[in-house]
Amino acid sequence: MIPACVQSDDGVADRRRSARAAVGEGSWFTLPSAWTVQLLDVSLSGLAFVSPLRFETGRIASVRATLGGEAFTARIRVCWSAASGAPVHVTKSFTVGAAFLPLEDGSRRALHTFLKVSPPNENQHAKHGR
Amino acid sequence: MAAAVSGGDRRAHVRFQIIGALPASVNAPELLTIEVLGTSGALVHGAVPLPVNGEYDMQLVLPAVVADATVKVRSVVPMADRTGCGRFQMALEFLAISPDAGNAIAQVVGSARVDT
Repeated sequence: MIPACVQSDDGVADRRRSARAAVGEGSWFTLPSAWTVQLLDVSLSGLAFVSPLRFETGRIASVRATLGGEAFTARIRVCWSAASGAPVHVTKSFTVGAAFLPLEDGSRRALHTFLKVSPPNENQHAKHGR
Repeated sequence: MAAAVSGGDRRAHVRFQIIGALPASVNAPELLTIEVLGTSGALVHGAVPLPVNGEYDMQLVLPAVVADATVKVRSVVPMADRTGCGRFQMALEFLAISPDAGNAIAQVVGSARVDT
C-alpha cells in the first residue's frame, strides 16, 4: 500500500497501512538526471539548446558535448527557457538559453577551437549565425 | 556582434548557429518536493513526470538526515497549473531505505500526522 490516494474527501475510508505526515519546506528527493539535448547555437559565453525538460531560470546544470572532436564540459546557469514549437518525440520540448560558468582550460580550448576553425559542411560544424 | 533581435541584443559574444544535429548531455539533478511523507512512501511533485512503475535510486533529504532511498513510482498526476510550467504529482513507494532514513521518517510521521 502506498500513500498515493490524496483525494480522500469523498468519504471513502482511509485504507492506508502506514501513517503519514505533511512535510514542510526543506524536504525533498533528488534524482540524478541526464538529458539528451540538441544544441542550437554556441558562443564563448553560453549556448542554447532544445530540451525535453523545462529548466527554470537560474538553475545550475552541467553540459557535456563533443565539439570538433574534443570533449567539452561546462557548468551552466539557465538564463531563459521557453516552450518550443517542435516536439521532441511525442512530448513537449523547450528551448533553453544558458550562460557558461567559468570554464576549465581544456573545455575553453575546445570551445575556442570549435568556434574558430570549424570547417563548413560537416556534421559537427558551426556557421556564423544571426 | 550578433544581429539585433527584438528588444535589443545584449549578448557580449557572437553566437554561432549549429547546422545539423549536435547532441549534448545536460546533467541536472531533478528535485522532487515532498508534500506528504509516510513510512512506506511519499507524495511528491516535480517538473518531470517519471514513468509509472519505474524504479529509481534517489537521495532523500530531510531536515535531520540525508539518505539514499530506492523508490517505485506508483502514480503520476498532472497538477493544475496557472503558470504553464507543468508540474506533476507523483506517489512514490519506498522499496529500500537506510535505517537512518527510516528513523528520521518515523520521527517526522510521529510528530505530525495527517488525518485525511
